[in-house]
This record gives sequence, C-alpha cells and structure tokens, in this order.
Amino acid sequence: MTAEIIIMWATVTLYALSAVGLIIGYVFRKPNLVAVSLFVVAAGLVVHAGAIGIRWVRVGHGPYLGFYEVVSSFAFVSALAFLVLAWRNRAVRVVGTVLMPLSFLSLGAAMMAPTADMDLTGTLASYWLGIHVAFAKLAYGSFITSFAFAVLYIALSKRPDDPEASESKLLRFDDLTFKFLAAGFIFLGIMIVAGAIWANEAWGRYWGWDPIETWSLISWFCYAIAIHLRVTKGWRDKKFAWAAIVPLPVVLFALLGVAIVYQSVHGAYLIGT
Amino acid sequence: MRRIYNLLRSRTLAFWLIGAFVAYSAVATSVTEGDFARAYANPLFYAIATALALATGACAWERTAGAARAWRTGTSASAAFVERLASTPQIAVALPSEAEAGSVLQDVGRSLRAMRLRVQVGEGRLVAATPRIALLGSPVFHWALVALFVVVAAGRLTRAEGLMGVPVGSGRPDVASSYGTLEEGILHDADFTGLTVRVTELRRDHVVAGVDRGAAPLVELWRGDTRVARHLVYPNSPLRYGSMLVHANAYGLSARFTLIGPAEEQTTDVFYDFSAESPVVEAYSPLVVDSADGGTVTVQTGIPLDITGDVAPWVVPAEPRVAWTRIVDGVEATGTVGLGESIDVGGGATLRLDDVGYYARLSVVDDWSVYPLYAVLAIAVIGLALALLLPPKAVWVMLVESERGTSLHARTRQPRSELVFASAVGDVLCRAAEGKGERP
Repeated sequence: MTAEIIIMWATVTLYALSAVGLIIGYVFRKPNLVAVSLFVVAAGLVVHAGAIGIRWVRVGHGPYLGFYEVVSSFAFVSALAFLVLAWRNRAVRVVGTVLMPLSFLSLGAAMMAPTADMDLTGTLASYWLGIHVAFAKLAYGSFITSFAFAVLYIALSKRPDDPEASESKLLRFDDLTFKFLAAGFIFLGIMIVAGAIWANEAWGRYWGWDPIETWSLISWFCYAIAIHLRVTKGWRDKKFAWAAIVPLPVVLFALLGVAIVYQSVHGAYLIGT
Repeated sequence: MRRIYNLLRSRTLAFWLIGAFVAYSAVATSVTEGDFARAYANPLFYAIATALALATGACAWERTAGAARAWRTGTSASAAFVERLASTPQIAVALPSEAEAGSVLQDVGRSLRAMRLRVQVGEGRLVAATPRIALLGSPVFHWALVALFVVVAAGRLTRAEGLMGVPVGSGRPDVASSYGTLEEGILHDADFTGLTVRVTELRRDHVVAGVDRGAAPLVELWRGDTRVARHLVYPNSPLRYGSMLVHANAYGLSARFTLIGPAEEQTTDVFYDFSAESPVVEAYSPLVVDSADGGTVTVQTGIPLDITGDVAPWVVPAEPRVAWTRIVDGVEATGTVGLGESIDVGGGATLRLDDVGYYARLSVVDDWSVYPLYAVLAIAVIGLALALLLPPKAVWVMLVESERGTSLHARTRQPRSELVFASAVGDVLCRAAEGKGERP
C-alpha cells in the first residue's frame, strides 16, 4: 500500500512537471521543452499504469471503486488521450497545456481522498461493470479532451498574432472540439445503455430514476443540445466552444457530485455506502 | 396538420423540450427526497415526454425524407450542376502548365480514397462520396428514439412488478394475492402468467469467484406439473423465463401456523424480516383470525433469535419459539409457543405452530418490453455512431479548360458540422496540382 502511494505521488510529480513544461514551452516558444515534456508525460503514464496495476492485483478489481480509484483512472485516461493525440499530430500538442494541468490537478485531488481498499460486492460483480466503466472512461476522457480544445480555441482566438492561432489551426481545434464531443456522446450513450442492462440483471429494473441514472441522462441531453446546435443551427467558433464547455460541469457533477449530494444506490462505487 | 408538423419539427421547439426535460429531471431529483419514481409519474412529466416523442418523430420523418431524396439522387450530377461546377466552383485550383491533367485527377482520386471516400473517375471529372449507408445514420437514430418512447410506454402499461415471499420448500402461484407489494400496469393481464413460483433451497452465504453474493434461493417455475425453469438466484444472476425475471430481494424467517377451528383447519405462513437493531425478528404483518363471534382477533408474533456473544446471527434458532401478543376486546395477552404448541384465539379456535424455517423474498417482474428495448437501444447506438462518425459527404471534381489554362474545379456537400471537409478537399486539390501526390 505504501509503495503504491509513493508511486502515485511520483506520478503526480511527473504530471505536474509535464504541465509546467508544456505551458512554459508554448508561452516562451521553446519547442525542445515541449518535446521533453512529452517524454515526461509518457514516463508519468508508465508509472501511473504501474500503480494502478499493483492496486488492481492487490484488491482484485479494476480502478472503479471509491473516489481515489475513479478520479485517478480519469486522470490516466486524460493524460493518455493527450499523448495519443500529440503522438499522431504535432499541431495539436498545444492541447496539453489544458489537459495535463487537468490530469495533474485531478490526480492530486484523488490523492487527498481516502485510499482505503473497497471490496467488490455481489451487485457490482458483473461483466457489465467492465463494459459500463470502460465506456464511462472513454466518454469522460472524450468530453475532457473536447473541453480542452474548446478552452484553447477561446484562448487562442483572442491572440491573432500567436502562431498557434492561425486560421487553419483554429479550424482544426473547432473540428476536434466537435469530434471529441460527438465521440463522448456516443460513448456516454453506450455507458447508459450498458448501465440499464446491468441494472436489470442486478435489480430487475432497467431504469429507476436513481439520481446518478438521472444525472447521466441529463448530461447526455446537455451534450445532445450542443450537438444539435452544431448540426442544425450551424454553431461554430467561439459560440460552439462555449456550447462544448458548458456541459462538462454537469458531467462532473453526475460522476462525482451526485453520489455525495444524494442518497443513491449507486453511491457504493464512490463513497462505499 | 401541416402547421402542427412544422411546429413539431422546429429546431427551437426541440431545444425547449430537451431543456424542459433536463430542468424537470434536475428539479425532480432534488425535491423528491428518495421517492424518485413518484416525480416521474407526474402528468407534467408525461406531457414533456410525449411532446419530446412527437417532436422526435417529426424530426425523424423530416430526416427520412431528406435521406430518401439524397439516396435517389446519389452522386449523379445534372447538366445544370455540371454547368455551375464549371462556371462558379466552390474550390478552383489552377494547374501548372507542365502538369498532366489526367495524372493530376488520378492523384486527387487516390487522396480522396485515403480520406475513406468512394471514388468514381470519369472523363475529365470524378466524384467521391461516403458510402450510401451514411445517409441512414440520422434517420435510424431518430426513429429508434421514437421506438424507444413507444416501447417504454407500452412496457409500463403492460408490466407487473412485485415482491413475493415464498417459504423455502414451498411455492406460490403467480397471482395478485401472492404479492406483498405489487405494481401493475393498467393493461397487464389480470390472470398473470399461470405459473407457480417455488423455492426449493436457500444458500445463505453464496460465494462465486471469491465474492459473497448474499442469500441465494434456488427458484423453480412450474406450469401445472411441469417444471419450466430452475435457477439459483443472486444479484446479476436472475431467473429468466419468457417475459418473467425473478431476482432475490431478501430472506428472512417464516413460521407456518395452522388455524384449528371447530369446523375447519387452515394453514398460513407468516414472514419475519431480520433487523440489525433487534435480536427478535418481527412479523412482516400480524395474523388476523376470524373469531367465533364474527369479529377478528389480531395476533402479533415475533421470533427471538439465538444470541452468540453480542450478536444475533440471522439463522433459524436451534429450538425456535414464537413470542405472541393477542388483543381481544382491548385486553392484551402474551406468551410464547414452540413447535407443535398452540395459541388460544378464543371461540374454541387455536393457532398451532407447525414449522419455522427460511423464506425468500423474491422480486418478480413480468415485462415483455425489456428485450425489444435492448434491440431498440442497440439500433439507436448504431444509428448515432453512423450519423456522427460517418456523416454523408460528397465532392465533385472536374478539369476545366480555359484560355488561362487548365483548372481543377470542385464542389462539396457535407453536413453543417463538417467544417474541415471543404478545406481538406482544397488541400487535396492544391497538393495534386503541385504534383505532391497523395496526402500524407
């Protein structure tokens, strides 16, 4: 347990260093520092994967029980999404200036939460859990990446002289904001469907208007509005960037806040009751 | 009719309805204090959901008509379209004088194929488009949503869900009177399924793959003398038979009493639920016995558990006894009885304790709509993925000769969400004109 926590703090440090490196690299136009920061992100991911793996083997289940495990795994997904994007496309590496601080801060917050082991209960022990959780991580990872591109779009569009703010780059950021949002919308939809099937297996009802179910649906509808604004009203640029930013707090509340605020049968996954 | 259709397919109405659904759900979840389902049985919620279903239907119809038109037209270009492409192109790239026009067009085709478009090359022109199936995404998704509303509504009207207590070693017919609590849709078959639900065994601490699944009853369904289904039931492992789904809800103790009157004998089971707060399990409901004078006698019973140290394990006591309280004409009498002993209920009638054992509280759902619902959801996800990941796009490219030389002219067609497609096509044409070949 202690070794695991030490490794996790090493991850926090590496993510923090990479975030600082990326921001300084882009603000002061030091491409070498950006390149080094990418290696630091990769090192952080390897160490983070090791810590998650050690815990997985020890407690016998994946990273989906308790605030610590849930938020840590989302930080991992965000950092991984950034590294994959940066690896494939040099032009979008600047998104790391948003994604890596988010990963660092969320992992830091996770480390402040209780790290005690939580056992798998009979209701949670289902292969649907894996499907449900995998799509949740894909959905939230996509939404956070979309959010990061939207924030960058708004920030860079105010600096027309910045080489990172060329028209073609902004167009690409706008497109990626929509594409990640659309992917997250699909993944969230699959997550909700998988959750409904699992609820029917576990409890005999596919939908019970439990607060977490309801807020997941609310999140999905919020993103549905954003997609409709793009597809039917043709929203783009700053307007669409804001439309992609606004639903993220709703998603985060559905993921982390609802289990704390409401009495929910889903509370076990986060706070163990 | 036309005005109603136009109203329902309006984008603005769709935004307002989705917003109303979101607002209602957020408020309802916050104010209902635990009874969440009640808020969603409110007429206002039904009105919002119905309007949303109708608007989705109108939207689905509109998208289907649009997709059908695009399907019929395909990528064929009318003479007027070709004329527009030649005279007023959306994208125009002049070829260098040394460029070989046919080869440039081939390069363009290769690059567009690399963009996962299907390319048809003709004499001095080409057309590239996504597969036709891309046209189906949005209509399929919206129709699936409409079907979802219909299946959920029909399911709610025809389903039944309730909790049924079954003593281990016996059975209960699937009829309304067998349920302790029952929610029945107004169109549910009043005769229920005609099956008998039996519990033959209870494994109190059932462990699978190292995880304690709790109490697991072995449940059987019988039609007359034929057993039609049998399953050990625990969370994530329900018994399924047709439209029926049986889950284990809880377990407790059950006591079998026989009412012995002057004229007849009648057997009844009383269920007792364990409680962390009390070492005595209390009856789920009191026994109410008809008295000789035409009134009723109420007998409240409980079973004291064996206490080991400071805890009372949730098991049948080694020598079970039932503590009883009887009230007749306001006069209370108490006592305990063991197996084979009787409680005097007046008028020459007695209640004999015959047996104490376990009972399984089963959640029994009869809902045909679950599997159709899964199918609709799967179709909706496929439609959504098609609509968002493979939006219908097409580009027409033509070589145009003029006094100034040869140019590549192009026009694109794409959804409003696809902002980069036209610029990507422009890049392709420029690269081909510069002789840089395929896009990297």
